[in-house]
Amino acid sequence: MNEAVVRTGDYDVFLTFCNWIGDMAESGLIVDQTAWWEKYDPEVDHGPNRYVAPLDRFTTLYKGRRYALGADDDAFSLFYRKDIMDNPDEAKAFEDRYGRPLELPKTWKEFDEWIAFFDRPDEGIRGAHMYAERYFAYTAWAARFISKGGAYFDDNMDPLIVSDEGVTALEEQIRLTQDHMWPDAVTGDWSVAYSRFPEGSVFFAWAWASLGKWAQDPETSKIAGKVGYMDAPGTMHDGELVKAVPHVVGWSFSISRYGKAPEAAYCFIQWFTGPAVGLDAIARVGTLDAFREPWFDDAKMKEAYGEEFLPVLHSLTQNAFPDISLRGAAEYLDNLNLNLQQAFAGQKGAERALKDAADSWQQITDRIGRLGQIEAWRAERQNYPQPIQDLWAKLGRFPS
Amino acid sequence: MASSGHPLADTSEGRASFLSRLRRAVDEERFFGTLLITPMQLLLWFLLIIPTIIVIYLSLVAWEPRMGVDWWQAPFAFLRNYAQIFQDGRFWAAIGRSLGVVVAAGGLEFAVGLGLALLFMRDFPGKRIVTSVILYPMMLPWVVVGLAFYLLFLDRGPVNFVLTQWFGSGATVEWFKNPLLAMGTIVLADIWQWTPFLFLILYSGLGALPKDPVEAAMNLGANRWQIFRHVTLPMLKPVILIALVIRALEAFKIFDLVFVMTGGGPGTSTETISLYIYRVGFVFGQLSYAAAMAVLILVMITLVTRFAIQPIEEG
Repeated sequence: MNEAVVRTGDYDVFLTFCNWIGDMAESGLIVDQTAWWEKYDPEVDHGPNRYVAPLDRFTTLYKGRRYALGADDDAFSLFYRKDIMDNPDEAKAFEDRYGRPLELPKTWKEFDEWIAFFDRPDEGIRGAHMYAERYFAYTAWAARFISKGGAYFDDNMDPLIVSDEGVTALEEQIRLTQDHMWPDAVTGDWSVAYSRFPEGSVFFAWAWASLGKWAQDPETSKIAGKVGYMDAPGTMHDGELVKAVPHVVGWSFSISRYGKAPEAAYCFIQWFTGPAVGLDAIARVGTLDAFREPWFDDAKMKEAYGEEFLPVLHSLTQNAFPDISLRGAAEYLDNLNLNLQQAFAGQKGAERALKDAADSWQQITDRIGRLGQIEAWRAERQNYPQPIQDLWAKLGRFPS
Repeated sequence: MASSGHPLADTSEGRASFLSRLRRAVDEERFFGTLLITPMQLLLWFLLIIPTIIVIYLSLVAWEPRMGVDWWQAPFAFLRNYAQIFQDGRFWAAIGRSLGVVVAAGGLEFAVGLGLALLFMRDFPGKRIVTSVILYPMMLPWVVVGLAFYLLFLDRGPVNFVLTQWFGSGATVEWFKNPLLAMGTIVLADIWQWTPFLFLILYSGLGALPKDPVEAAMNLGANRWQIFRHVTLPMLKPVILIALVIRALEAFKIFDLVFVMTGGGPGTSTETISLYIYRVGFVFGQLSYAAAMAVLILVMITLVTRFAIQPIEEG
């Protein structure tokens, strides 16, 4: 945002978290790309090279206009120890304990039991590493909350997090964190997952897709060749499983209003994220992740990710929901995170933590301007995966 | 020199002429002096006064970069930002924590620094080398110290390793999960880094004290504690005050250690005022509100500092 203030014109292109688009657009820092999309067609929401939905929406749109071009897929991915899971003795012990066969969990209830079963602190391996720390504590809670039918706000921007869905989701996640994770899930930072899982001290980890590559590399991992990939657990609603996968960070390109050649800059980002160059960049460098449909069948990508992981990542992406992307997104998320972290650390109860977060959200909304935020939120919730929107409709979450 | 023939007239005329020359010289000297300090004054204006005026102005308007208008076009909020501060519990909690750091870290640094300074007043083998080693932490960047202490107190860090070796596998401490312990590790890092600063000042101060009063007290039969309590300490008081004021100002602004070690967490339980202002200004983008907080802090610190150094000015 420094450039929004000083306007040096030194930058043509910004590569930022995709949920910063709201702030950048409202400040006048970035330009609306909609006209260029019509002129040059970046093949985002149609055709054989389209982005995996709903990435085509939430990595590009703000208030219904195209302000960015997504360059990444940060659907949180789930990894577990396949070697332990495939052990027949474990399967028998699990069945004896829970009365059902050992399989990858489909619901959050099954997931919690699965993690509890594989939690072996005496053997130096805890059940899970899921972020409960200062900056990404919301991820696992939000996945449960939204799959239960929760939404961050109602149609008038009043927070909906202090609800049965919100409180139950947080209570479940607190139990899991306090009973089956190492303490540094709460006190560490994002990088802890990248040491815990590859060193073999946790059975399961939920983080960015890059953790899969990291854990399968013998140079950085003690468990290379022992990693399994799985789809996200969800919540059953009338016999239908609804999954919600947090999409966290997700780099996207936007164009500076103060750059010297905005249209040329746009052409550059379209070229860079294009079907051929983008594929090459992602398959070879590996800091960004696949986001166009055909790439999930591409040989280069299969080689980069492994045959097993790519279809899982595709499925996760289809159920990915965006971070809060309104004006003040960082502030909304920070206030949520700090309260959730306190809950995970045992300093606050679930309801109190969510109430404190909701109160701070009301203040943020009122300060920034409720009407503008309502307009942005009504547009933003259209960017959620269709099954979640259908569930909201079924639950009457928003006026039709 | 003109003469009127009268000795007194001569004298008074001579004095007038001398005074006039002196005044001219003083004027010239003042002009020259002004000329010399002008570049520095201008630099100060640009580096200190103009930014301060801008910060004060920002604190009186309602401006955020994401509003899409320039800061000088932002609507006046007058004292609304300041009024908001008084309702902001997170601000006052952060002030409380910063004061806690000042008292805990400053107090212990002073005690240890003074003890070391007294110890080093005597000669012992390797004194010069030990002095250099003691000063070493002060030369490290804050971030490096923060990272080192973060690694030390990690759940699987060396401190917990030692504890488990001594007391068994259940003796690990979750240093960064408990707010008090987390703050304790930050204070410990600050003490490790800044005790040498107080040692240096107090050691220099002790070395510069006149020896006669101490010798006189010894001749009068005072013991070492009485000499320290009634002779050395009073003479050292101005140095102590200056050292404590400087250290307190720095400790109050603590940022890097907190940012690196805990990020202010869990939740906001180790968030100090500098970290909070940073978050409000640069993460939340509320620059006007951050400016108001900064101005209020400036006023508070100025008043406290004036009060603290008053005894020195009064001699």
